[in-house]
Amino acid sequence: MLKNIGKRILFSIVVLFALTFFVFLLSNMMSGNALDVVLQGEGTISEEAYQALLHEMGLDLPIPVRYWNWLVDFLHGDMGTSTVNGQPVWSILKERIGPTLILTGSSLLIALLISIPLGIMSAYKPYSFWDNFASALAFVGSSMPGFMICLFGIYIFSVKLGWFPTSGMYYSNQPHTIRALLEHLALPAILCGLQMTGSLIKQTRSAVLEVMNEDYIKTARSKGLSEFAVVIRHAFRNALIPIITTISLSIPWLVGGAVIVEKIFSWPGMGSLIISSINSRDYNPIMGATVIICTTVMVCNILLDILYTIIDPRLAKEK
Amino acid sequence: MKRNGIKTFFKKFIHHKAAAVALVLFFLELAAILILPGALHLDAVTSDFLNMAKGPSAEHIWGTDEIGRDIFARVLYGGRISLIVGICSTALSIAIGLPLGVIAGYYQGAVGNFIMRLVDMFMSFPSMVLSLVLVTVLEPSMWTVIFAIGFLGWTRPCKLLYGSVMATKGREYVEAAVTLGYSNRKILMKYVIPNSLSPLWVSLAFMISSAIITESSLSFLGAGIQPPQSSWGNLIYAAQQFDVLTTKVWMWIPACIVLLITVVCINLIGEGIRDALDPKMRR
Amino acid sequence: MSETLLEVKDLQVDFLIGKKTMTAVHDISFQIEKGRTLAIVGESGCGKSVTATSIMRLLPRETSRIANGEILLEGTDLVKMSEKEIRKIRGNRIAMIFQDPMTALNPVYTIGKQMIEMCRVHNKISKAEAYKKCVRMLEIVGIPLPEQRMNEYPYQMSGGMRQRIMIAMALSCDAELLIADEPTTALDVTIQAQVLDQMRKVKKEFHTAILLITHDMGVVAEMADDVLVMYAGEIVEYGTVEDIFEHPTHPYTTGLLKSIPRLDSDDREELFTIDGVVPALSEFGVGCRFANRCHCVSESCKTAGIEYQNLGGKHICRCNLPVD
Repeated sequence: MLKNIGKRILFSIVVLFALTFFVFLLSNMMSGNALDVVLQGEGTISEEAYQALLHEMGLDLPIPVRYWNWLVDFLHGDMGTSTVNGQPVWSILKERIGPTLILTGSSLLIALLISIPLGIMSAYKPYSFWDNFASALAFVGSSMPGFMICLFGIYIFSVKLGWFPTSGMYYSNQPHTIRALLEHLALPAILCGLQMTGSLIKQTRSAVLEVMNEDYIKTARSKGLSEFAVVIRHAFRNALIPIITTISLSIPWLVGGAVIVEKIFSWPGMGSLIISSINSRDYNPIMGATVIICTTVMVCNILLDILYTIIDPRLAKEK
Repeated sequence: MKRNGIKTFFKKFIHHKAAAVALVLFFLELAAILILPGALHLDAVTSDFLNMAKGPSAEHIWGTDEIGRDIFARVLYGGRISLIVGICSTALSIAIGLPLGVIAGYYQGAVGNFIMRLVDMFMSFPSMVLSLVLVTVLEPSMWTVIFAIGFLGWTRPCKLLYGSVMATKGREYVEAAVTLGYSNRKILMKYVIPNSLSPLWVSLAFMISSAIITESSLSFLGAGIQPPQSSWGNLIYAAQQFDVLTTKVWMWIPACIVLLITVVCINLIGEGIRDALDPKMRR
Repeated sequence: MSETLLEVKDLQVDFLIGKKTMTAVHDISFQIEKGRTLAIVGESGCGKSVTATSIMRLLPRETSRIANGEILLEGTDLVKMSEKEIRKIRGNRIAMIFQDPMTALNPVYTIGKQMIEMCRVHNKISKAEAYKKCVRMLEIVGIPLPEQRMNEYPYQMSGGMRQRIMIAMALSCDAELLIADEPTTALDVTIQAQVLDQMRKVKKEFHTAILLITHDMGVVAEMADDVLVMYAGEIVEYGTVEDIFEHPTHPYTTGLLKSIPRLDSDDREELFTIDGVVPALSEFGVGCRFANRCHCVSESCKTAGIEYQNLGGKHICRCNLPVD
């Protein structure tokens, strides 16, 4: 088992290298020759002086070396500076990580709280009211683009009903209280969570449905256990493996959805940073944020992998 | 035989009533998008300075946007873009994913392992974020959007083909072909690939609809199709302004509804195909 | 004669297929005395498992129902019980083991956890007491190193061991009746004998009655006190094991007995087979359900209703043929 986790971590490190290299190439492609950017508006200089400067900035080195230097800088928190306001990227980013984690974390929680009970109920009584309700919800969830769910949500609940604030994380010119945070968080987190429910409900339903036909469910019933114990302790516990796979596959989607939600609700996280940087063609923050998001997603996946082996003893003993 | 297959497929497809209705609706919409702009001489780019940001009227039946362009025309022209992006990027995904999936499933071994690891890698990235970055770097346009969605979407057909090729490979008729000494090429082309495609057909519609959703999301964020060209996503982009969202709803609601109808129709058609091809998967 | 433990009277089970109702099992009556073994024999699909499952009221609720009859456990009707009441019977007074021990244990819990769970549902005892009891049960069914096995998972054990664990678990609440649904069918022949031995042993030790479902006449001969032969959802013959093996009366029973391979027959003739197949549920008319395969069928078999003939003692037979 440890071997598998180790393999997984190793794989993730390789992936991260590939990713950062990709990002490095892109950022070089975008900004062109960094020297040209610096020299913009400085007039022309002689060829020798140009070469000397190139050497000084390390731009004449081969790509792998330059990548290595970039990576070392990157790992030391030097992700370049924003061309819009000249601030170091890292100092912008670290303000943004918290809000994004709060939003995606609570969305994930909401998505799980909605889809898992619904999925179990619809598997327990197929074609019942709850099953039809769940499949309708799943269909809407998979057919409606996330931004549309958000727009309708904000239009109905914030604009028409006035239940929630429309944007931001706190009320401006008011103290930053937990209550204010929750009021601002509720709508975006619910709407972002709803985007995930489609596939989660479907997977939970089919996983539990499959397990319900297993012999050990009949055994559990023949032991005289209550239906609740049969469904939760025996069926759901065994259905958890495919459900966790779905969760880990939908985390990247969740992050993508969060970008849109952050933009619509002006949530001060990394998603809205990416969008605003895209609109002002400010590349360094985009790259920094992308790498951080991808790393977090990968760490989540490793954690879920470890969770697998806790849930299924057969996996723990393999190999 | 082949003809008969199509006939029974169609019969089964029609059996899914919602799918049949969706198919009709989708063709009507397609006809409107293809014919109406030319037939009615609609203009989606010229501003009508006398009617800027006006609601629906006789002159502009769905109203005009902030700079006086006709919303009806923009929705129809935008539909062309959205559908082109949906179909082309799916085609690109399949063009990349199908051969890789077939190779990985048929040969397995080190190559197959490498390809599937690559799939895992791509699937663990938030594709929305990466396509945003990719489109921005390549300068947003219809073709870069197609490239970004298609390029990042290859994992799905690849994974599907990998699974089904592996299953087909274990079938008796393939083993028989191997013992007869046929070349790998012949076995692949004549036996394995034709018999492995059905999962792809089943998910084709879903791939197109999710590509359309991704395109509209990118455009909605301002990183996709750029004005004056219109797409459903960049029409809805207007709703990010608070007054448009709250008071000038004609600017964004029509595009929303048409987009929603399109995606729902395509998904229902997909369900119909799935039920017709693979009754076991029916819910 | 000893006390009656379970009595089934006129049991009828219906399946709902789409909007149609099909009768899967019909007019079934039998009784099991304390400490005795009743075997229900028949080919697959004859309704023997349905009968057994309906005693536990474990048939899928959406698609089946007990349409008629009574199932009396020491006089109390299980059919009329509420869900909550029947749960107190399951595992506690009537326990069940299944055909495939590879899938009957939950793969994600240890043996100990699954056994203790059952003990604690029915008895108010501490975990430690339950643990002790379970270890003892494992010892009784001949599991070596029971304490170590308690902490292991089902995938770490062989099929025969799992079936013995199922038996141990089933009897850990001192059930009075053990329903064994084809308990040896999925096992290797050598393991089959071991499992049957264990069943006999626990039967003696705890004075447990057993309802054994099987299609194997060899197992019947070895285990049963009474035998019930079923065909297409009906009883065709019922009697003690001597009645059935020494004086088989119904043509189906004789056919079954003749189709057992025998080592002592010196001429290696071909095994006897019963021609034809069981008709579908929907094809039954008023007459004898075995008529289309019977070698001594007469015209009246297909048109008239068939009555049970009492052949003395327990022995009954559902056939119109005159009995010598």
